[in-house]
Amino acid sequence: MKNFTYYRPKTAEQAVALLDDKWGTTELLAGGTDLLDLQKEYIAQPDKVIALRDVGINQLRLDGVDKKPDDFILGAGMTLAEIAAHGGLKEAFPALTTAAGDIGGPQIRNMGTLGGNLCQRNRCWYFRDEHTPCLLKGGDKCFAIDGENRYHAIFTQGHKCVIVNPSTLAPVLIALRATAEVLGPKGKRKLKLADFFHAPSSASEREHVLKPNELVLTVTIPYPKLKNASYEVRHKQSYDWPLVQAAVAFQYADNKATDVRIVLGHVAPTPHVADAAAKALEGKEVTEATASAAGEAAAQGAMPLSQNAYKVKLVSVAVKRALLTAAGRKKYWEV
Amino acid sequence: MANVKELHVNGSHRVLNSDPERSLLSVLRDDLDLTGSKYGCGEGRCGACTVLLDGQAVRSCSTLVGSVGNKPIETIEGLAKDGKLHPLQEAFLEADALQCGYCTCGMIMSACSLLKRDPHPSREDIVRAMNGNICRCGVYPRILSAIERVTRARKGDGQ
Amino acid sequence: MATSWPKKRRLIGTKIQRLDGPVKATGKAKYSYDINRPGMLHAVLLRCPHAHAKIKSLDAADAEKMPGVKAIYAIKKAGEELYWAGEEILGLAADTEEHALDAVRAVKIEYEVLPHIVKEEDALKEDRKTVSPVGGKRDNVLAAKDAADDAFDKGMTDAAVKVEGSYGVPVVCHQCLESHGLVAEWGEDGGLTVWASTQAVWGTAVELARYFAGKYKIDLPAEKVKCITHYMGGGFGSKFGPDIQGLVAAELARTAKAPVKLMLDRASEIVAGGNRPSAYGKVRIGATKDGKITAYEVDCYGTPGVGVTDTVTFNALPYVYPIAYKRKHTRIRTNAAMQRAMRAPNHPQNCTLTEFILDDLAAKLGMDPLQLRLKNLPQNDAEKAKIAPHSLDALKNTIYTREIEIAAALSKWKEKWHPPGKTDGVVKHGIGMALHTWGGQASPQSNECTVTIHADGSVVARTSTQDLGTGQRTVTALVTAEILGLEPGQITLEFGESTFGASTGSGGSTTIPSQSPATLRAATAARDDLFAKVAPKLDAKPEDLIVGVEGKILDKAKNKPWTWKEICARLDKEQAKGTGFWNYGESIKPDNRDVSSSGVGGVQIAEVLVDTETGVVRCTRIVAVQDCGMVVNPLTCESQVAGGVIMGLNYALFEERIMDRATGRMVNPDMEFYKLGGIEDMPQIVVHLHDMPERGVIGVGEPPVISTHAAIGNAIFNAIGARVGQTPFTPERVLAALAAKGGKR
Repeated sequence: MKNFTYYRPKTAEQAVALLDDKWGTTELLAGGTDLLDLQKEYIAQPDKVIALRDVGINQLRLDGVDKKPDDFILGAGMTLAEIAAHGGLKEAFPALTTAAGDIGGPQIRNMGTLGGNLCQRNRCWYFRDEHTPCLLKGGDKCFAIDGENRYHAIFTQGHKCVIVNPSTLAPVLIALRATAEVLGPKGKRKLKLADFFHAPSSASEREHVLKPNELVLTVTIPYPKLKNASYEVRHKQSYDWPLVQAAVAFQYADNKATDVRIVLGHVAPTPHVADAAAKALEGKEVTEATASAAGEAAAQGAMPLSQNAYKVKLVSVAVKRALLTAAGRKKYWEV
Repeated sequence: MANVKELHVNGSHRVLNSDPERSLLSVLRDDLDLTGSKYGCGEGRCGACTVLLDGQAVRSCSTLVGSVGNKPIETIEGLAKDGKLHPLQEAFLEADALQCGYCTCGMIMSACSLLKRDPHPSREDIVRAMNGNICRCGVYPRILSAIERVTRARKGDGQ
Repeated sequence: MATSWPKKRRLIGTKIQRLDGPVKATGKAKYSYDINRPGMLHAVLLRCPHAHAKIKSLDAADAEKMPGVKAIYAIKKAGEELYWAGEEILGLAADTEEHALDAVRAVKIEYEVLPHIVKEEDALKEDRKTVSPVGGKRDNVLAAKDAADDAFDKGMTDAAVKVEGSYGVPVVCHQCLESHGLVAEWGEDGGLTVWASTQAVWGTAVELARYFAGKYKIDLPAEKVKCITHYMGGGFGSKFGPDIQGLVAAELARTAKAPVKLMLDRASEIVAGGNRPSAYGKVRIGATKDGKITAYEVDCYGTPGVGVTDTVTFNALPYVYPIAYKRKHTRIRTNAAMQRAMRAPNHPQNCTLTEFILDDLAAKLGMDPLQLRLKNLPQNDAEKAKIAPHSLDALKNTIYTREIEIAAALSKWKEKWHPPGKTDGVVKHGIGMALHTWGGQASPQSNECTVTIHADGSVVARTSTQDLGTGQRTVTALVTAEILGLEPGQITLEFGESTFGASTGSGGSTTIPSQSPATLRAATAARDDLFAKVAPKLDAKPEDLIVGVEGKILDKAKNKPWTWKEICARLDKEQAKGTGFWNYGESIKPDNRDVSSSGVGGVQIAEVLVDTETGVVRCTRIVAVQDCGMVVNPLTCESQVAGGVIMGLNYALFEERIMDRATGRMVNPDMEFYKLGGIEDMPQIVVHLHDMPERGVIGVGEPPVISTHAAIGNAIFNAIGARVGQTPFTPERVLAALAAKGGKR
């Protein structure tokens, strides 16, 4: 990897001060599970790497559930393993703890962080190949569109680059209406996770909307007692990316689902909010039939590439199963 | 950041002088001659480089030595005590849970991390804890049975 | 003198723990990657990024000036052509790996990019057939081989039931966990030592000696080149000889006058470290109404990359079953690394092109596929039985029939099998089977072993052969201990160094059938030498001394027992020594029959659960019944079989080299999208060793890998009633097969 200088600032403010205002020359290092790979492959070639391990954002801040029962505040430095194992989170947001517990293998979960999961680069094999000059590395074409695209986006409308966003926490957090607090040179700002992601199409963009000199401090999840679940369809059961993921959250009273939110992962350059699916279920009881209908609605509008039409069907199944799981229905697919 | 001058490895302080930008794996292997942790893929996929950092299994190939600080590092070389193999090592031999042996140290360290966290894991817990380690010779079923031997023996001890 | 195994065997056939287990499980075992020599440099290879290109210019001047660079060795020069993405251009050694990696990127190369073909189906298109991937006049689609049995036409015409189908397996990669590579160091005496990750210790040394002696006209006899391989992290057929990185490392070490380590990184390991070629075919089969198969026809193709070799075993199509045939095989050269031998080369491809259609036929006949197989097994060869009564040819029907019975019982086939697709529910259960065969005889060239007994009672067994994780080291000690009445742990092993005598590469499952008899002979000769030397001092006749029970040596004339130590002490300043060798020629001498032998049959039965909504397949249980002649160490033998099954499971469900048409590059040279199953993907595996000691020792490293994917494929067919004809059996393909069937559940 290209030579770089390693910094370990003590505060988030110091970290931000070390960051450049353009992409490429400085990078933040949290768990290291993504950045170091990119550096070894000469995809990322920063001059400065700024480690976040000492900046004090690695605590889950509940701020006392008694006092502020409305919010769970998660430090961006929390590891995926900590999130997966947290009892309070498990009870309130099984979608989140399931998704966190299914990422990578245990070593990755011990290292990877919430902030890193949200800000990681995509896994497109053309992007990750040093010798393929794709759009995101300053080239003039996306090689996946006419190439090997079995794992790429199926909601491709308007996208020059057809990566899928790799985060499996993002769809969950969007479904749960979470908000991120971000620190930049001018101070803190808040943004909804729903507005956090971005479909990049050049070397000067990332998969999110943060500026090169901003970092995530916390993620706040409101706690209105939503039923929620995340379901991944995976080729391998061990250590693999999902082929598709569905995250769902809804109020459920008197056998009626309201305030339904359905978000898909691994189907588009950003987490994909499936409004039609949510609308299809709104006000209805969650049954195999209604969940199925919502699943069909979720797949509407998909424009798959040459090799990934199969993912359209998987979207419907994942949504159906996530809804049934969230509603506590029988998991008919488990034998 | 300044060079790393000291690491806390297997219960002792090891003196060295390394750029903080190097991987923990290469420092362990090339500076401290602890070659039990292996380079398998270099990209955090295979688990052959697994060591314990502060008791938790991590990928030493994807850990910068500068980020380690004074956290205790445990490698495979530190498991056997006073010439006596760790129960996991014994169990791996009894179950023949190894062939070429290249993944073995990483496997044992992953299992070790699990048993530190949970002395009585279920089969599902074991499987989940071992999901980040690849074996190309194909000894997974025997690895599972080796770890179960240890947990069964512990139950027998009434621990 | 005739060689034979002891009639009563104390250790052979019992489970002995791996003797190198403790060093491996404690991290003390030094693999090639672990060797660090004083002043050692780190080398990397510059590889061609294009699938086909000519080097217009190559300038390494800037690279040479980069920090830490000590030597550069050009493999290719300007004007030369490169035929696959990953082909080696230049080697560079620097003081650290980081410096080497940075410096190699400073080499300036201009390429003239030339047309390439990386996908078999593209090469077959009419307008592409003449685009040669490798220059010269050669066509990229080589002339097909074809052959037909006289009885074929009649067999197909007379068939009451005919079935056809398309089946295939892609190129897959060896993916050794320890990559290819070595450390090379020239000594002051002009000799060369390499610590190489190889499955041919002796051959690597011989090849290096020949190369450098020839190239530099130096006096470099084979004895002055030493290859050391005490431990190695997997080869599976891809690690014979020094390989290009071995030559380059030794060249760089020579230039830099310093030891050089050159181990491939993961991406290089996958792209250049070896692959199993693909095979895709159309198959047609005909049978009588009661299931006697009368004709088999296959038209198949595959790519050996830039190589020219077959991608199937042409003369073994159909596989296992003797059926009137018509066969055709086309080799397609593509711009990709040449294929290498991979665990039972070409047999899994043959198994694919035979075993899938059997179940498709059984379904059409409304038959249980197990019964169909029983009905079409090869017969025992009565003529062969006269010459070699324990040979596979003489026993084929007996062995397969018995193995099928055992496998059926262990898998509860009768209760679990159901007509294809006839189960309820979203997640469907299926069970399927497949058969395989392999050789596993002694190597044509000799393997040597030397056993030395010292006056202090210590025993050294010395051989240059390698232990790839197969358990050979333990077997050498076990056989020595058996003959001398000792325990395996009492034997000191001098192992895996080329100067320890001749041995052959571990390919073709030849190591155990070559090494065990050599060890048997060496230990027997050492024992006889010991008795001859000590008998006078014991006032005994050598022929009266025998190895008795509990480690005692018995003077049977006087019925007097001696301890091993007492006996050896009489050697005084002498040693007792024996050497032995073995090869294929020895193994077929009438006097030596049934010491080692050849030819095994195996049967595997797999069970799966197929989620018909997602297409996800989970394999839940595999029964592997493996014929292996005399089992020396059942513990390590079972590990070999289970390991083969797992490699076969990966072949079935996950593995595939994916090439990009536009760039000509492999898109998944990693462990992320080149998928290898982890522990959660594993089924329960039941191994049954079909132990037939009367057949002698036969190698078993390869055969268990052959039929697993076919058994799994047939289990999927049984589950869903639709054929998924190509591996890996991905969710996408399973869903497509279900959709083609009409979406019926």
